[in-house]
Amino acid sequence: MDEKELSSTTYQSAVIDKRWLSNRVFELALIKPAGFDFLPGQKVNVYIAGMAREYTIVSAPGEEYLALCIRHLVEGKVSSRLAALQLGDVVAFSTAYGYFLHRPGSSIFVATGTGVAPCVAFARSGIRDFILLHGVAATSELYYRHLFLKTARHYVGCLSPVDEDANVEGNIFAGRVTDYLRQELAPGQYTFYLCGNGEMVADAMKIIDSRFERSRVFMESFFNDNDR
Amino acid sequence: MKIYTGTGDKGRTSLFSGERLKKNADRVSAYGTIDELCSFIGVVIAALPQFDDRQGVVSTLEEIQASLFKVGAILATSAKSADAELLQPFAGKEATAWLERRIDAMEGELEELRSFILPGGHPAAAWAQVSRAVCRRAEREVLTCLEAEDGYNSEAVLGYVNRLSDYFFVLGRYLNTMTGTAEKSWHG
Repeated sequence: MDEKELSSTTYQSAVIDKRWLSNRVFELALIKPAGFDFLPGQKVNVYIAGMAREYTIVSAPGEEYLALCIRHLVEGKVSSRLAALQLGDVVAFSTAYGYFLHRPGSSIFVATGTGVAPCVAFARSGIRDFILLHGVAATSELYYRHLFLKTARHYVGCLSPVDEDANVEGNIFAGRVTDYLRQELAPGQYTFYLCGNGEMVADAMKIIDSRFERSRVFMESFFNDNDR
Repeated sequence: MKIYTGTGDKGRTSLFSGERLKKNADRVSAYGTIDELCSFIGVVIAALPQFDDRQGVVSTLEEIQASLFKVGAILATSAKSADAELLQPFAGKEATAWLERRIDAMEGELEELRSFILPGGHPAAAWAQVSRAVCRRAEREVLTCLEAEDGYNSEAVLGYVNRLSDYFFVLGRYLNTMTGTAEKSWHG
């Protein structure tokens, strides 16, 4: 993207906070530019060193800052640069886009890893009547659990592989989010929101098609970690 | 964004409004044909020769492609769904009138039609006639959706798609005229 194109399609804002949520995931807070509008669940493209990656906004529209949830990958060309940013550094990003938006009514969010990000934006925006299944590999990756324990109707951290020493608040399920869908969730008609790695999304969709017919499904799947 | 999700491997797909449908459902066929038409328009553009009004035709065809994206989104949203509010607005009547002005402008350059003509001629003209036929199929499939669902929100679409097939018929003739390619009449 050349300079002219960059200036016509992007915003540029300074970093005002960087908060590590686990040893791999951090929340990057930027000054929210004047006129920057978005809906909870939307994402932006972040431009750095000639590369672009999309990240979901985890702050609420009413907040004065703009926060992104980012997984830092050691080999990640973009995430490593973002992890190295200091307060005051400037980041370029696009307008908000995407249709992974909350619809009225009772919802079931199924997320793996940082796929929980849209749900963070929903919860911070005042959405309450939802069930969240968050699949992670270790309890330390159950970031935002305190937010969800206060806001979700039912919050389940799904651990795979099982962490025998797990000792966290709230419900913990030993297994994948798809195991929970298959074994624990009562058959019925729901509105599902799937966000996470492609394998989980595909597996969850098969279960929904066979076990929760006539449900509505909204989904976002992203590349595996090594693509970042 | 990943291009493949694996979520449709068992013959189902998701509407914009979240419902899961079989891929051979009427509605999926309708917006699939709109997508097919949009792709054929790309072929018409790729086959266009050089002539004075080439850029004008390209602009019109690209505008039509953009409109067809909106049409496809409308068709992919279930009747009376609140998700319709998230769609980009499509002013069907205005878009239809816009097509009529372009049809009239091209017809002013053409000889009067006195018999049926065989589709063909310059490659770009031939592709325009293929687009016309695909557009007619899209129209039939949109109508099937309209009849199947009470309150289905595609009435604005139907008029536009109907006029669009007229546009492609005239475009085919126009491109043959612009390239000096003779039309072949049908002597039945």
